[in-house]
Amino acid sequence: MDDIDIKALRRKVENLQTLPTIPSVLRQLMELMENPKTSLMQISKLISNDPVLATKILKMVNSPIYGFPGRISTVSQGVMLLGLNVVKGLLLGVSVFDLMQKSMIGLWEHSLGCAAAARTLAKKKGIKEFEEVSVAGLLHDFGKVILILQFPKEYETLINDVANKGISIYEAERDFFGVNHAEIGVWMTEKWSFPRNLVEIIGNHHRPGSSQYTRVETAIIHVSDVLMRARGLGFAGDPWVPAVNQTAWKLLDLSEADLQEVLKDMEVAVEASEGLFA
Amino acid sequence: MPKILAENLKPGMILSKPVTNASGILILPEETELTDSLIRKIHNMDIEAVYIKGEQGAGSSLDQMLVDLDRRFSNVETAPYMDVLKRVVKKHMEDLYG
Repeated sequence: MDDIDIKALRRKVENLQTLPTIPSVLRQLMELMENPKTSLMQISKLISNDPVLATKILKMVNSPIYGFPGRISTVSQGVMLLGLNVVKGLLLGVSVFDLMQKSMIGLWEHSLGCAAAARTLAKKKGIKEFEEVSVAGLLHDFGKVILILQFPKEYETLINDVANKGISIYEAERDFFGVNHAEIGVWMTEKWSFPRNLVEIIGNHHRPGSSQYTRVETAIIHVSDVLMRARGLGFAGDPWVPAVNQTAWKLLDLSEADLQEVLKDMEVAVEASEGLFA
Repeated sequence: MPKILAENLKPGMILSKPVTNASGILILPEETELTDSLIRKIHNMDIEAVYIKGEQGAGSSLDQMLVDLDRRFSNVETAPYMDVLKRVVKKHMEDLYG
């Protein structure tokens, strides 16, 4: 895509909310998130006004992935317990993935699996804000969603190409668009006023050594991503397992028993969240 | 439980959820084993994708899963630590489906 420069591409993806395929509640959510002063109350009001979205969010926070199984019965209670950033991430995850379920079947499962694995790993590593790490797992491939929504035909061609050529979707994106989904994830999460840490994790999940503030968290998302691809859960754009980053691997220092446990917990959590979009 | 695109359906796959048309009318019940003629029916109804039993859909036996596992790892067999990861996932699959 030589004729589209990066700046023009950035303008285009940042104007996602103008796409005719974006439902109005999601458009409102995106507008609310752009303002860093948006309060928990405004977000919780928006969710409560949309019964379908409210049900999905409640299902999600009550699933084992978000750790309050069956305990949260109202949206405002969930928002209070999980905090603004986690709720924003969940909302975005639930509403946007719903929109793209048809264009990339399996990306939701991949993301859900990463969220679950990241939660277990974060707890193992003693990270207090493990919910935020889990949200990073849910949103790490968000840039792919944006690319598919903006360039459905081109992205489909890329997916077919990489399966035949044996290269990764990550490399193919770079070749074709000049940027990859991790960089696009950074543009969007910055635009939507997500915290610095979440932006850094998403931006560096393919090069975890580059993170400054979130070295362990980025390593967790990187390893969760590789683990889900190894497990073959869902689909993330190409059928190949990428090589794990050695620095990230050593930093986490996981035993085989640890990894087995992560996989077992993940199966249970993903199973329980099934049917969220059925 | 994966959703499989209609174009990728193969005879012998078993539905894990009922197939309904756009108005919600039941076309095929859960547990139906697909045949060529049923797959044609699904294509003719313009149904995009259906739920199939087993993690990988087609040939969800453990043997098939291990073949798929080898294929996924084919580019990175010799990369550092990938042998550990593969061993862990293989054991996990055997525990789940063995």
